[in-house]
Parts: sequence; C-alpha cells; structure tokens
Amino acid sequence: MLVENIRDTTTRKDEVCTIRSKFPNKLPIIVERCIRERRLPLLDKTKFLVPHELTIGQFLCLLRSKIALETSQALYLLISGKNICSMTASMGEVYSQHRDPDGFLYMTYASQDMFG
Amino acid sequence: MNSVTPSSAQYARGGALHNDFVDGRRLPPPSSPRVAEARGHFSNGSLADGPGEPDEVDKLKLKLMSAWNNVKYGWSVKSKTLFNKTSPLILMGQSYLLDSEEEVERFRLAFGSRVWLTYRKEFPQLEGSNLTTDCGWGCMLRSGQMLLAQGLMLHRLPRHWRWPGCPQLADVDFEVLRPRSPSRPVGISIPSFSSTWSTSGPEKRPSSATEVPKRAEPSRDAQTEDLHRRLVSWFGDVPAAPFGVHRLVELGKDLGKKAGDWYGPSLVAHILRKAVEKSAELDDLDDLVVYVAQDCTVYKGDVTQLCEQSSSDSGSSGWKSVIILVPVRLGGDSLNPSYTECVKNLLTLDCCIGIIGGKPKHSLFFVGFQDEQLLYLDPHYCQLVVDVTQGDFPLESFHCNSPRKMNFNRMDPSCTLGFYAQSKKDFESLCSAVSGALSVSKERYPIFTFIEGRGQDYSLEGYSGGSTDPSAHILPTDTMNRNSSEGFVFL
Repeated sequence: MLVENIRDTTTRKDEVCTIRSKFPNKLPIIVERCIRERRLPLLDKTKFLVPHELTIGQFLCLLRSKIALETSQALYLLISGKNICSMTASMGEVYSQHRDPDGFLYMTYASQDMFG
Repeated sequence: MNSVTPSSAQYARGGALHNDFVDGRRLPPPSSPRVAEARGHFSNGSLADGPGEPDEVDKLKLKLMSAWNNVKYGWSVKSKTLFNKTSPLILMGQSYLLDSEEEVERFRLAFGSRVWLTYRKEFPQLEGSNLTTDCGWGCMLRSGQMLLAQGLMLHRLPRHWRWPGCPQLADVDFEVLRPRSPSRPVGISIPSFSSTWSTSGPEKRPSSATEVPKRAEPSRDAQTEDLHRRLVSWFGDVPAAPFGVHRLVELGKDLGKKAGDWYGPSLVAHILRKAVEKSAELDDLDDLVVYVAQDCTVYKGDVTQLCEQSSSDSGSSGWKSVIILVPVRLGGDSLNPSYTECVKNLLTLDCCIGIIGGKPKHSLFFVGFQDEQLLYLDPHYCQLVVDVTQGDFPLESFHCNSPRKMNFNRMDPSCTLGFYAQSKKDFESLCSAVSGALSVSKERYPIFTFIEGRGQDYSLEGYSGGSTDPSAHILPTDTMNRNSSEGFVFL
C-alpha cells in the first residue's frame, strides 16, 4: 500500500471517529458513481450520514430523486463496488457486514450498459 | 458494431437466404471468401483459444484475417464450439449429457427449435429515420425478441414442442474434457478422447426416455406447425408485426430512444411489456401480461393484480399468464463471479425463459450453460429480410444450427432475467423455485427478491410518514446542514 493511501486511510478513520461521536445514531457512507458509468450524473456530495433503520430501497428512492431519475429508469446500488444488496436490508445491517476498515460503507451507483 | 455476415459458411444450410450477403457499404470484397478458407484451415476447434502456430506464414495470415473479421463484424469466426461429453449441458431448464447420439439428437431438436432472431436488412424503412436495417445497433432488441419468443412458445405451443424441420448441428465438436470446477466429481470413467459417441457406459439412458415423443395425429402436428409459423411472423420486420423491430423501436421512443440507438436490457424489458400490452387488443394474446420488476424486487401483490385485473376484461380464465422480467446488474465494472452460481441455478429452472445480456457492447441471448460457459444465441448475423406476410415464408433463417458458448467471466453485468408462469399455481411454484435458486449462500444477498404485497407499500412516503425524525426529509436539510456537518449529507 502506498504511504499516501495509508495516510488517507488514517485521515478517514479519524473523520469517521469524529463524526460518529458527534452523531452516534447515524452511519457514515460514501456513495460514488461507477467508473464506467456515463449516463448518470455525478452527485455533488458523496458523503452521507444515514439512520440505521433506513432501507436500501428507501435510500435508492432518495438517490433517484437526487439525480432526477424516473422510477422506471435503471438505477443500481452496489456495495463495495460489486455486491448486490436487497432493497429490504437496513443500512445498519449492511453497514455492519460490509463497512470498510476505514469505517465508511462504500457504495457505487450505476445504470445499465447499452449494447449494439 | 458493424456486424455484417462474414461469410455464409457459419450458417450455411443450403437455403437461398444464406448465400453470401455482402453489404456493399461495409464489407471489403476479399474478406468473404477468405473466411471460409480460414475455417478450413482451423477446423480443430482451438482457433480462438490456443496459441498461434508459427510454422506456416499462410496459416498465420489467415488467422489474422479471421481475427480481423471477428473484430470488425462482431460475429465470431471461431470455427467450432466444443462440448464436454461428461458434464451436463443445460438448455432452457433441460439437462443433456452429450455422451450418446440419442442425447445429442435430443439436444439438436431442442436447440434448433428455439426461435433465433438476428439483424436483418432491406426491411421497410423505420418511421422517423431512413434506416432499413438494424445491423450494428439492434442486437439488444433482437435478444429481447428471442426472450419474448421463448415465452410465447411456452405460452402457445405444447411444452416440449420440437420443430420437425430442425437443421443438423453445425460447427460443434464433442469431447471428453476434465471438468474445470474442482468441486465436481472427476470419478467418471473416460471412455475415449475421440469425437465419436461412446454408446456404452453407465451414463447411457434408456432410449425410450431420450426420444422425443412422436405425435400420432398428423392434423395436430399441422396445427402446431401453423402456430409456430404464426408465432415467428409476429417478429417479422414489417411495421404491422406486433413484436417486430418496427414496433419495438416505436415503443422505445417514449423511453427516449430512436432507431439507430443502442438499447439496454432494462429498457428492452419495458419495451417488451408495452408491446405485449399493445398486442392484447390486436391479436389472440389477450391472456398474457408482462411484469417488469423495479429495483430488483418482484412484488407478488403487483403481479397478482396484473394477472387478475386484466383478466376481468376477457372474463374467461380469471388469471392471465405472465412473463416476469427482472433487470439486474450483477456487478460494477464487470460480472461479480460470486453470482455465476446463481445464474446457473436460474437457467436450470423450467420456468426460466433465458437471459438477455451479452458481452460488453455485444448483446447475446443466454439460453443455458455447460461447466463455466454460457450457451447463447447470437443476433449479430445480418440476414436479408423475410416477408412474413407470405403464408409459406421460409422458416430456416429463424432457427439456429450452431450453438455457441462463452465463459462466464466475459458476461456483462447488465442483464434482464426472464421467467414465465402459465397459471396462478405456476406463479406460486415459480416464486418458491426461483427464491430457492437465488439463495445460494447465507452471506450474500440474493440478486433479486420476491416480496409479498404491493410496491407502493414500500415506497418512500411510507418511510417519511412513519418516521418521527423530521430530518428524514433529506432534500431540504441537505442545504441546511451544509456548513455544520463537515461535508456530509444528512438523511
């Protein structure tokens, strides 16, 4: 691991510690656009503090409205960049299973690929 | 992807339609005959995967030429598909162990009976454009058509109907391969490495079980044959055809697409839903509905309502048959290998009507698998349009004789899974069978879920209304907390 990354990780760990002590009822998550994704817009802010009981399905709805996407348009959330998650799973459940060592839960969003 | 047919060699069946279609605009003159030559030189099935043979310059040239054709036209020029004789091949929920002629014959009939829809050219101009072909852009629509055709076959034709006109299999080889998966038992005695059948051995099944049931009444056969022809004609490339490319492009316009655009598996699922909805008024298809899952969730209440509500119009059976389409994304940048087991499980189910997806940018219709490879029908083959309004139009170009496979790791993560349930009882058993197939491991979430009740019960309003925390209304608080929360958005 690069020294830079280690420092970044340490910084993020500190950040998580601070924010969790301030808001113990919220979970820190980072939501980024999938690298290959071109059709969906970028989020202006990628760090979220979410309540434990919020479900993935509800979060997806919020995300949909945030990037102004209609309900029938494809939008997928992937945990740690590759794992599918049930819509009924709660953030608390997903966080406890999939959080990164730095304390954040990482999620990526993507639509579907097009084919010719 | 300008996929024009590289040569008639791939699917030559002697039909007039298959003789050297050369798209003058795109295909350079020398390539077509060259491909056939290349195939002659590399007929041992190792062309695509094996390392190059440096002994002959000519061989290398031809190999490069065929590779070039492969790249340019999307259509794989690989010579033969190799099938393992020792592990089962799954096709549309049926298993085939290709170690005897009977089994290969059973597979040939099953594979050749699938409806194969490909790029076509010289069809009536698409409305709102000057296009008379879908070569190079319509492959996802074609894959969607094939999925729908499979659903309609289950809906309309006898369950194990086989087309008597099935072509002989081409470009296939059968070999005894060591299974790649270490978990598979390797203890089976290997009879021979030749490509001839081993007709002895413990795996041989009684021939009565492997034979396709023959129908005694010729009149019923003729009737089924008429249905088959009628079904294929629904996918004809004329504006009036209910599931033809003209109709699908038209219905895609509402979803922001136009002729010449590339389509995605989720979008095509919605187009198919609308096409079937629309065909209910026109054809004898008023007893079929399509349900498209939203956010990887099938709401059983919604399916029930769709099947019951719409059947009250016709007032007949009380329950409509349903095609359930589930658009999914099985990974981020590439397919997450943890989901291949699940895909295999789904393709093994009787109620599964295939998967529309593909390799990146290259749509394929997945119909089965063997070991670590998916079996598919490829729409990237440009054929001349067939006039389906003629009562006796030729059916040959709507069926494929060359089964192909590709490794799971090349599968694009975006796809739409298809299922069919004829009756209410079928739907219930579908739910439990599919749920079972989806729950491969306890640590992972299933790739999609069935939920009792209606989608609206789970919407965001329910969350906001039930919550006592006023900050649940995320969007306004977003700006409020901007300064106080160190760059975090509060939910």
